[in-house]
Amino acid sequence: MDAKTIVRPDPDVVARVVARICGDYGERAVTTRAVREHHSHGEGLADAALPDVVVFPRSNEEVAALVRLCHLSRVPVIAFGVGTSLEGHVAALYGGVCIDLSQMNRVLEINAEDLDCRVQAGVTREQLNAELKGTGLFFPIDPGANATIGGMASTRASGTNAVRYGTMRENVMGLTVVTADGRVVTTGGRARKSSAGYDLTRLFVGAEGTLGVITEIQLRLYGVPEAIASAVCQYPDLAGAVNTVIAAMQTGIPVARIELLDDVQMDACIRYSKLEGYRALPTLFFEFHGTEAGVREQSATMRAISDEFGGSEFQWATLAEDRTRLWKARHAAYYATLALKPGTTALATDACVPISRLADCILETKADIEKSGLTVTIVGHVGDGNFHLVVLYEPGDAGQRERADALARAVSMRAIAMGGTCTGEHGIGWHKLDLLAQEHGEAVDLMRSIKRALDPHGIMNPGKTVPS
Amino acid sequence: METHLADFIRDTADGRDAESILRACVHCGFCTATCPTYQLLGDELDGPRGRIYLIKQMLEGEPVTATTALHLDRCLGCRSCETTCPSGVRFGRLLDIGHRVAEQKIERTVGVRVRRWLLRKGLTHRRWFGLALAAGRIARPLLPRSLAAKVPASRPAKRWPPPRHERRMLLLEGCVQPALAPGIDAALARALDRVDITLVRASGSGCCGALSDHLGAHDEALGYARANIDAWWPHVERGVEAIVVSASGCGVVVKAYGHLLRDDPVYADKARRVAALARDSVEVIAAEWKRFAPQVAMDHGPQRVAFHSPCTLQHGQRLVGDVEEILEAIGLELTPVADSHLCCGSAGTYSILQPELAGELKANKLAALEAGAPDVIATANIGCLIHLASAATCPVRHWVEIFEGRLRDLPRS
Repeated sequence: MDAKTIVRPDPDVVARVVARICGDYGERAVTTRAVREHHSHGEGLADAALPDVVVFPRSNEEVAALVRLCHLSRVPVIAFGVGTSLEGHVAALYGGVCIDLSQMNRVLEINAEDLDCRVQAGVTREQLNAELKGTGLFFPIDPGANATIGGMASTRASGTNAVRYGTMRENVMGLTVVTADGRVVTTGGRARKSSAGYDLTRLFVGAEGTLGVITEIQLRLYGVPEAIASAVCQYPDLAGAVNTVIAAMQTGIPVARIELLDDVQMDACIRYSKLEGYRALPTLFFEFHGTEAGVREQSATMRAISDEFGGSEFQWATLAEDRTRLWKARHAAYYATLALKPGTTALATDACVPISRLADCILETKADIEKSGLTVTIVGHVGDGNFHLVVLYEPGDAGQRERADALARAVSMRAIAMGGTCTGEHGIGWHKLDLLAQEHGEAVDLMRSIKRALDPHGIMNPGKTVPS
Repeated sequence: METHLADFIRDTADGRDAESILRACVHCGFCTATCPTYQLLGDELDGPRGRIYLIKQMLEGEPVTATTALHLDRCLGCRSCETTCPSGVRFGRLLDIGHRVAEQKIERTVGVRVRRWLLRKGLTHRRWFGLALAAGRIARPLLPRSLAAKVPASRPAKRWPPPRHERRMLLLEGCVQPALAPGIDAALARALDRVDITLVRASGSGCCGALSDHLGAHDEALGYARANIDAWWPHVERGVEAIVVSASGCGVVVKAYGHLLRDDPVYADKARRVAALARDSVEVIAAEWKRFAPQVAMDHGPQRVAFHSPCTLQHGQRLVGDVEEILEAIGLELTPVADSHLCCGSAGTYSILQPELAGELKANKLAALEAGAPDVIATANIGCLIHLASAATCPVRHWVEIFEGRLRDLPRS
């Protein structure tokens, strides 16, 4: 599939497909502009592109029938969860059929004894954890938004817990996928390991809906730790905070979460989430999981390291509601940044580097930010070497947009040069296509071959993930 | 959110208001989780974020369709989303603007228009409503059950105290309450009389304007506001301390008079002053609490009360927990109420215009209120009171009536 082969489908064909879907699905197929607009973009850059119809299937078979129809008619198919992706993943660049999986939202099975579960793609992470209450288990992956598990698998998402529990890559055991020609295929299994053949599960995890539509996911679960303690520590400068993280990771403290917020981000969170008792300084949020004794030991080591880099006293949150408040504030960091300047738009970067390079990468980037004159926050899952800039710009101001784009590109290129990646967890979508080529070079050709083999007509979320 | 308002509204007061509200929204969606209609229907467009999109499109000049009207009409206007929103989006104001624009642009069928007109005229004119209610009560045995449930039994008021104090406060009597439940304001007047305050009923004041505004008749609403200001003004000039409103749904509107009439050269200043004087009954009673406390009879025996805080009290006026505190202080046992932030479905004329949704919300609300087996349900707004009483298994009263009933008998002089 090269650029010339992606063209908008014939409008008459689209009209026929839309009419057919509306006939088959009744109220579950919607062509209202407000609904199409809502389905035309995720968060982040607002370059929206509307699908022609949004349809809400309720079973694997319905999804398969929809994709088969699109395959036969050569009409694009875009899978949609709750629209919280950040790189334009759900924009219908060539129109087509948006498959909203939010009504496929059942937890199909919970196998407490095996520490796994199977869910439909439209289950959100908060819903899953609510349903796990009482089992003593939890699902740790937590991107900021309350995303769907299907969307999280498709973007290979992670979150604040990844430093301890891994990303979707480590936690998806198997999938049910509707392929581009409308077959329902099951990949992976429930065994904790397997050497049987190609690892198709990991092929579809992170494929951003360009190879098929994920409809069911088998997930790993974990026991809720006996003791959980969260702490906040503030630093006089950014270097102190970042160096604390690097030393902690090199020491091998099994910290469950370690999050950095720079002074601007902390200021935004204090205002948006009404946090009390903190100052607008570079800040780390920690969380320790384990036995009472284990948590005590981990936190004592962490304090010793933090003291060396000028960290403040730890402010502890051990009550569940205090911890929830703290992490809710962290998860709302993106919205808190947007609220700094009402009406502005944000783009988010997602650099991730080997841990020893983290301080260089963040400090050089902070200097870039100061030169840019833009309002930018830094927030990150620094335990993994991953951090985000949220860059605000006036949507009508071409100069600001240009400077924002330049800043974002610089941080991505810096990460790649340091042996890291332009995206730790957000994905490529269509905003980072050129960076994928920078990062992977020749390997992108192989990706194209896979795309062509699995989606010969190029109907699956066209224009995303792999440059044409 | 980025917005580009269309020419017809860009340079108007409403346009500027709408633009600043739309810009404040960051689309986080925290509001959808607390929206009663989103909980029932699960449709993005039946939650605040979806409705913000719809209003934005309308104000950007997109055609207004029946779908737009449907989803806006289904909004209760409860403003639960405002309480939740971390960005301070004033959804209620945006919705009012949305309703006004939709009303101009949408073609409603003749039947619907007549129905909405009748509601406006019938409910907001005290005398017509009183006559209709009296007729309804006489004909009650003949009415179909669904209609009969909407006609509450008569509970006449006890006496009004004579006007004998130097301290004076005005009362907003409103439109339907004097006919439906005259006992509430009489109880409020007797209670305030105990702390040497005379509650004055100004002739010429009437409906606050809320019903007209919610039904898209903005100018009519402004007319009501001006009439009330005219009726109150002589008293305001003579130095009344406050304008007391016992229906929280009306109180929230009187408190917004300053905003509603901000561009009226004749009334803007007066409206601001009136709005600043407006108080819910709980604010007045709480302020005089030290003088009430010794008069409370604590020997009435236990009574279990479930309090339903009207949306206009907790979300609209942000008076949270005050009534509950007073009810506990007078020796009542408050039963726990789940999901107390959710609307009961009354919402002005909503219960009449959206009977299915209102019915579901009422059933959910009553289940939550009655879960703790209360002897009585208390609330603070006439709309909620009538709506809940039509299906509750225990009596539903305005909390002021309960409060006044707990004050010690006065020594006969």
